[in-house]
Amino acid sequence: MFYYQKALQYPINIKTPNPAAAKIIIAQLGGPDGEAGAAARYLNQRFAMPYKKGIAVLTDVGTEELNHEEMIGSIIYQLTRNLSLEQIKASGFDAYFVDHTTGVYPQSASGEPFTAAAIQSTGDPIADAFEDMAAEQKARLTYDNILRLVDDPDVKDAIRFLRAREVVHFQRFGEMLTDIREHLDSNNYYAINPAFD
Amino acid sequence: MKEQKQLIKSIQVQSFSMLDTALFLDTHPCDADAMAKYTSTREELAGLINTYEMRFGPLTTSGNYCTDSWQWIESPWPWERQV
Repeated sequence: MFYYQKALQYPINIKTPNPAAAKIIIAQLGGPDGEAGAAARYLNQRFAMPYKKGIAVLTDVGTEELNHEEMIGSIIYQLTRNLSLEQIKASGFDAYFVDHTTGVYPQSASGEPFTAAAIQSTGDPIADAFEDMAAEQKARLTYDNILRLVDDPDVKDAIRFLRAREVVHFQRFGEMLTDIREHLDSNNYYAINPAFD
Repeated sequence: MKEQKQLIKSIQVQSFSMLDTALFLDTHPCDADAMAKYTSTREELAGLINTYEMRFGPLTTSGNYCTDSWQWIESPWPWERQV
């Protein structure tokens, strides 16, 4: 079961509102490689994972993604406080504003609502492990792109923390894949699903 | 195994009691009866969790009391457990 701890995983203290930055950082809340999808992916993949190290990694990373979802929400919240209508119009935040005011809504930077269509849970731990490693790389490069587009050091500090976590998760998922391979039947040359056949 | 199952059952009961009391307190923060219930449940639950983790292993990643091995990864996981 899950319960909530009333503390962010890493502090977010943004002094200057910036709706243009919020518009792109929301990619990592509800976008195709965002934190909401990451949590849904790993926490649901656990049920098809036959090996204990894999279950622990999926549980612990999936849970951490919920922390990151909260961190991105906090960034969006702080970037969109006390906005004037002039700022909203000039920053291009008006299209988001008309639908959600300054509420935090899981969507991609291009406005696509969060969809589980961007994630997989295949029932095959090898396929899932490759998906997970790819997902961590995609999230890492999204953070790299955000770092290219945003100047505020308060924002960049938190984004750099999140980026570093993607790197660590990629490493742990790689080790999870190695562990799965070590469990395979020696005749399973092409690594066909060990969880079903 | 029987004792482990009984302990888990008690933890589930007390955890749910705590959760539901907390939810009630969210909208009734000054209710004295609910606060008393919360306080007694919290103490009981903390004791149960401590007993369980000392004897049977961690319930969260901060409850691995064994100092020379990481028991967190050991089976069964909750969806595998027959309670």
